[in-house]
Amino acid sequence: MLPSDKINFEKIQFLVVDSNHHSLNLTTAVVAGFGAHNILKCATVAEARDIVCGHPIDFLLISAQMADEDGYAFVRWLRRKAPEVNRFIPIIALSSHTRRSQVLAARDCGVQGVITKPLVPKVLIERAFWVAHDDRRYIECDEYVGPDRRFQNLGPPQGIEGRREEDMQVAAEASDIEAEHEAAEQIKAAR
Amino acid sequence: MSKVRKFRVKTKLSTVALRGGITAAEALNRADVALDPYRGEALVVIDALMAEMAARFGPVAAGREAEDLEDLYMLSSRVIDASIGLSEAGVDRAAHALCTLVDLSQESGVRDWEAIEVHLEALRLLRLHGHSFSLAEQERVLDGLKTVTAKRVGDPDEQKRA
Repeated sequence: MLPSDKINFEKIQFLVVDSNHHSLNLTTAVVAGFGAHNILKCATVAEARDIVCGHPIDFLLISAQMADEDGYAFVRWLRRKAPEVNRFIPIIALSSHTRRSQVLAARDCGVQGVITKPLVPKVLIERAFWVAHDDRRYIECDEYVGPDRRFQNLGPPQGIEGRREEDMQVAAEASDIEAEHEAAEQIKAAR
Repeated sequence: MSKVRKFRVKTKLSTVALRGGITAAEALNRADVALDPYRGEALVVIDALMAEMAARFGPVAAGREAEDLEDLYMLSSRVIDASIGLSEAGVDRAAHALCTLVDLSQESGVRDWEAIEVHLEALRLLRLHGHSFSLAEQERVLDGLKTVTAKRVGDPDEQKRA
C-alpha cells in the first residue's frame, strides 16, 4: 500500500464488535477517521448475531476475546448459519493475546486475518487494502468455511501426492519446468 | 470425505472501497486526529487496570489465593487493548508476557506468585519509565520476563513448537 493509494469507506457498512467498551470506542474512532459513515457497533456476541441477521454488513471487525462468547466461535457460526447476504463478508479478528488453545480456532474459524492489539491504524488500513484486493477462493466443507487458507499454491510437498485436483496440475507444471531445466543443462554440457 | 465447494465472492469492499475516496495518508491523519480524545482516557484506563491487578494479585493482596487467574488474564489483555500510543514504551508487550504467563499457568496448574509479581513490577516500570528507555533496555526487560516464564512455568516458545 502506498500513501497515495485511495480507499473509499463512505458506502461500506461496518460492524465493530468488542466487549471492552474502551477498545470498541477506539476501533470505531479509527474506522470513522478512515472515512466510514456507516458503523454499527455492539458489545456482545448476542447483539452481533441479531445485527448480522437483520442488516447487510460489508466488513466485520470483531474482538477475539468477547465476554459472552468466543469471537472465533461467532465467526464459525456466521460462516455457516448467518443469512446468505452476510455469510461471506470480509472479517478481521482483533486479538489482544492468543491462548495456545486458541491458535487452531483462530486459523480455522474463517476470518480473512487476525490483527494483534493494541490497534495500530496503519496496520488496520493496510490489512483493509489487502482484504479488498484479496481474490482467494472460498472453501466450504464440513470442517471449514472461509477463505482458502493456502496463500500460494506451490503444490504438495515433494514426494507427496496432493489431495486437491489442482495439486496434480501444479505438480505436473513443476515437473515440466524441472524437465526443461534438465534439458537445458544437458544441452549446455554437450556444448 | 465431505464434499468441498470452492468459489469466488465479489464483496462490496473489493468493488466500492477501491473506487475514489481519500488517500491512505489522509485516512491515517484523520484516524490519528480521531484517536486524540481517547489518548488521555487510555492512560487513565491503564492505570486503573494496573491498580486493580496490584490490589488483587500483587504482593500486598491478602486474598489472592482465592482469586481467579482468569481475571488477571482479562485485566492484562485490557491493558493491551488500551495501550494505543504507549506501545513504544513496551507496556503492551509486558502485558502480553503476563497473559502468556497466566495462560501457561492455567494449562500447567502452576500458580507462581513470584513470577506474577515480577511481571506486574515490569509493567509498572515500563508504564512509568518505558518512554525514556532505549529499545535495547526495553528488550532486556521483556527478555527477562520470557526467562522467568520459561524457568518457572515452562518455555512458551518450546511449547509452541511442541
